[in-house]
Amino acid sequence: MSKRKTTIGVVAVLVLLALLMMGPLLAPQDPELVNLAARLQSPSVAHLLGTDNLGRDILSRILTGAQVTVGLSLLALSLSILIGVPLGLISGWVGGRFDWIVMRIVDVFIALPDYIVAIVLSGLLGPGFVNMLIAILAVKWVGYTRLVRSLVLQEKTRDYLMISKLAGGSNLRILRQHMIPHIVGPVLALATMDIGKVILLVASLSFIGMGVQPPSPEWGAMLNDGRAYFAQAAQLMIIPGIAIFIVVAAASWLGDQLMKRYTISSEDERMTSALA
Amino acid sequence: MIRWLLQGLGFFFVLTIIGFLIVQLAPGDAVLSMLKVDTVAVTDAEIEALRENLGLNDPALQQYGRFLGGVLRGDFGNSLMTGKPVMTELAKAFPYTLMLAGATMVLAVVITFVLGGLAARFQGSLIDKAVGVFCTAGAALPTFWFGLLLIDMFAVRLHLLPSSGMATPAGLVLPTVALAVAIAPPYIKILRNSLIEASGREFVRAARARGVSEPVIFFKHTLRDSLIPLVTILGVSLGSLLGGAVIVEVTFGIPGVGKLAVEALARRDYGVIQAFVIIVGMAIFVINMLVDLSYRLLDPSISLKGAERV
Amino acid sequence: MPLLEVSNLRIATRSGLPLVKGIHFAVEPGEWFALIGESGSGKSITANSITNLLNASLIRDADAIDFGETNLLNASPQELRTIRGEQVAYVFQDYQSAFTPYYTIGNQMHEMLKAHRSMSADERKAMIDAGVDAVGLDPQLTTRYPFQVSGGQLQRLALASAVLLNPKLLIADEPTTALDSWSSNLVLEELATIKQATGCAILFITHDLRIMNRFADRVAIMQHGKIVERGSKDQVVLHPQHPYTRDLLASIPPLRSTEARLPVYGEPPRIQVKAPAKDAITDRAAEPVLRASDVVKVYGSGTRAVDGVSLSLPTGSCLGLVGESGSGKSTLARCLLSLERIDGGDIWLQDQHLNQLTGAALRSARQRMQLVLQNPNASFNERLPIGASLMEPLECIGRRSPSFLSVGDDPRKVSAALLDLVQLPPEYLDKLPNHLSGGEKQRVSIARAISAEPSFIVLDEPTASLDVSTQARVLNLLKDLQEALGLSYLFISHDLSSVHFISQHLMVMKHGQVVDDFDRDELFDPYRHEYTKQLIDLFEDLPQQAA
Repeated sequence: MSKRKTTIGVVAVLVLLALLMMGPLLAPQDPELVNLAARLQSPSVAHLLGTDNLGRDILSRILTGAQVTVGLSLLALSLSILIGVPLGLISGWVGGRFDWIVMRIVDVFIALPDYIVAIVLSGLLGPGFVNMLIAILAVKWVGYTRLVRSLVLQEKTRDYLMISKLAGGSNLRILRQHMIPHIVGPVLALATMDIGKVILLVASLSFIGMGVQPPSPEWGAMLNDGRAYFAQAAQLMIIPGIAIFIVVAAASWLGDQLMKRYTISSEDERMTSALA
Repeated sequence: MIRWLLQGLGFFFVLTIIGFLIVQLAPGDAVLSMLKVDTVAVTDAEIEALRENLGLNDPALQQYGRFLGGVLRGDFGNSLMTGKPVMTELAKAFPYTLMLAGATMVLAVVITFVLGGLAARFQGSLIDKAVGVFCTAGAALPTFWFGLLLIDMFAVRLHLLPSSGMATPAGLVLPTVALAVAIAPPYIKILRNSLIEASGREFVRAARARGVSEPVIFFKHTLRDSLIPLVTILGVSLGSLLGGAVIVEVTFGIPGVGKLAVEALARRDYGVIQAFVIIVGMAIFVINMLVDLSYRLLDPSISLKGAERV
Repeated sequence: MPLLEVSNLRIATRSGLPLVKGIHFAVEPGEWFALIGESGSGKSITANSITNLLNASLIRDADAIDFGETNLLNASPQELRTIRGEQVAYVFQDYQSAFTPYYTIGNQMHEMLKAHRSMSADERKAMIDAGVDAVGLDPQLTTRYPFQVSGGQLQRLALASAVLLNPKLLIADEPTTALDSWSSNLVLEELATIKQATGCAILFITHDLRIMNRFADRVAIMQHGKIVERGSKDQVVLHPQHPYTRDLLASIPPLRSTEARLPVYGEPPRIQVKAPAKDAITDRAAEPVLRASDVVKVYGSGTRAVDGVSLSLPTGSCLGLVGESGSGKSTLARCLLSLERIDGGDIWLQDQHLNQLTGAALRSARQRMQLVLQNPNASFNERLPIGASLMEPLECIGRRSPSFLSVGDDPRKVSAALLDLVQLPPEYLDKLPNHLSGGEKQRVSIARAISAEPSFIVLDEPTASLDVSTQARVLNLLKDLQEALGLSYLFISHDLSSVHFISQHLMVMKHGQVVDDFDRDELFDPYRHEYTKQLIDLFEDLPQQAA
């Protein structure tokens, strides 16, 4: 793919995400306004995407729900990066006992499948925004620790560090000047891919009744609510599904592009795509 | 061998500790939720009596010892939902999950080899691009939504296949398709890339320069080289198969382990949850060992390294 | 009638970039034909294109590639397959990839025989054993996997399998470049023996003029995808016509010459620096800048990588360290730079006892030493612009400018002046490392090393990964800088001739020990160590060309 096309695509995806974050401002109606007189309506001028079983405007709910779904993912990922990256950085750079302990913890988290950890955790903690955040954090930090540690280990053996050491560069200087530039790109790529994965996870949790609670509009929960009315009003289920699909596909496409751009070693790429 | 045993033991203990902590750290009182099942008003005295009875007032270490002993005997207590032993419930559910996972694996491998092979063979062509789109789309489809659409299409509208349950083998078709489409994309991408990478390797050129025929080069040299990266990620990603199985079981109403666990979570049936975590954890450990073994079989330099390496 | 005749061969990338631009050459039966060129000249893809072994990303076109009666250009895939291995065999540079790592070597030799002959397993085994025996190796080796055999042995096994079916043409593509000079010599002699015994022709692709001089009958010189000169070996070596050929021949430092610079094209740098104060030099010269006695470095498994080495580097001079890969010379260098802890002995930097230093004192001692590494790609952080990497030592030390420059304190001016010293334009400051060639990166490395005015600089194979003509220019530059700034070098290399060219004193290392130790002009003394004499034979001078 040409460089220009990629750039256009990247900008388009970023604009899409930004728009979604502003969703509630764009919503034409109150997403929680119940109007039983206008329930299960097909798309019309008044309700561009129709109404749900309580007569609520679906477009408004999708736009408002974006902030919950996408916002939750972004927040959870930012926290994962805040925890995972420094751990990986220190673990890789310092090595020794600290590294050993961190890696054993990482091993346990990798051995347990992320969906299962997230389902059990959010099931135990109960539904709600903060509990979802904890559940996602618990499965996502480990990927960043692993990735960053392996990048640091790889860079650590590079010859140019001998020059920095001879010049008497401090650890902090070497980390800042030489390690961080190698880490930013891959971490960004992984995070972008993860946006999609986390949105799917959030929606799945909501679908099995462990996510954000109604009436707050969340895409997975909307989809689950729509199940019962599928025969009468298919849009109740189809629209949230399509919304999830588009955002996830866009995010993983963007992540792929970034992955290629920051030529991660093929082994790291395999691990990240397996973990993500 | 010994290293595996030690790792397995270590992991087992970590799992039992996690299982134990599930009850300890769960918000709300486990006893309360046990009694609530009967929806009869309970007094504080009754709660206290039950606590004493269950040994919940003993020191944590003693409680853990008792729990571990139970686990080793395969005893997780009785399920709150049915009153039957937890192990019986799980044993009943396990075959369904195993069947779903097995069938999905087979289908995913077939899809991977067909699509990955085609994409690599016709690198850069329309076929390659179509496979790329399939991968992005497959990975972006919410599994439960895709499952519901499949049900609507093939069960409700066309009446071709059952919509839920696994009473007949036909019931396995839709869940398998839904799950395989979700987990195959990373495999396809990896196989495609590693096939392309392998066919450009110097040793492939060397074999060709010796006059070895193309089929032998492909099946003996190229394919073997590209299987190695595929196998390395297999262990890690089998977890996603089990995780996906939970969602699919709920979507299609399959009475497997995943559905059981989700119901247990909703009902705070802790014995079932503990058993679920420990058994799934150990299953994944065993799978990883098998993956490790096949990795060693595929690449002799792993097992022979150090021994005779010059 | 020639055995192989290539007419108007052109190779281009799919995007249309021409790499080989219409070359003609012919190989006569039984001759050793050398195709000489530097990296990027197109010589290897020329070799691969003969039996269509090119990557899919390259496109080949020619008027004809005649091999005997067959035009290989029009041959069907099936015909080509039977010709490969049976009539035209290959040996490649990358010996580790000569065989697939997942099967034993024997398995792959059987596979080759199966592809060409119908023979019983026993017959095949007898044939393989005889072939392996013929290259002087134990047939038992074929039961091993490729990674269980040393590089030199693997290349000889590759050779054995290549000539198993007595091909008429053996194409050897830099078969010895990745080997140390010792194993390389063995492979070359084996190749000569095979040629003698079977009468096959050899198309030998190399950048090494010494090998060409020793073995070739006829030669073609390639540059930028064209053959610029051809003829008999003697004609090309003694009467080179093309300037590029002359340049290549001049790039090799002759052991018997005392010239101060190599006569390659290129101006000597205009080094405008403040000369160091005279008395400072004479003062310092009294004591060596670096002394080491009985240095020992043991690795985990008990290998004594450095085994009791003593040395002394006089201020303002160059000490050369010659040795094969694995002789411990790079480990010694890292020990001297205190980048590795030593397990015995003492090291003094001027009057400081290095092995007793820790913490801040060690750091400030390290700042007085610098290093130029073999691999120019690994010497730079590829995400930082050249300017940032160049200025790192100065910044860490906290100095604005080296005292030998008089351009003020502006970092931009200082870094530009440093680049100017190594003959690079200031625009390079903002480039990323991978936009520079290997030789250019090595120049920046040198500028970086001298910027902090270290007491001495370790040059660890600084020219080994460069093309011969670039090598010569870097050697000249190093010498000019040393003279102008009074630098002290420890020059490490496997290449006796470049060490000899630049050093005042030489030490020869083998198995972690110094086996020989002598001044530059004592190289040909009759009492040199046996090992040194063998090295001298390997680096035999080319005959002097007529003036």
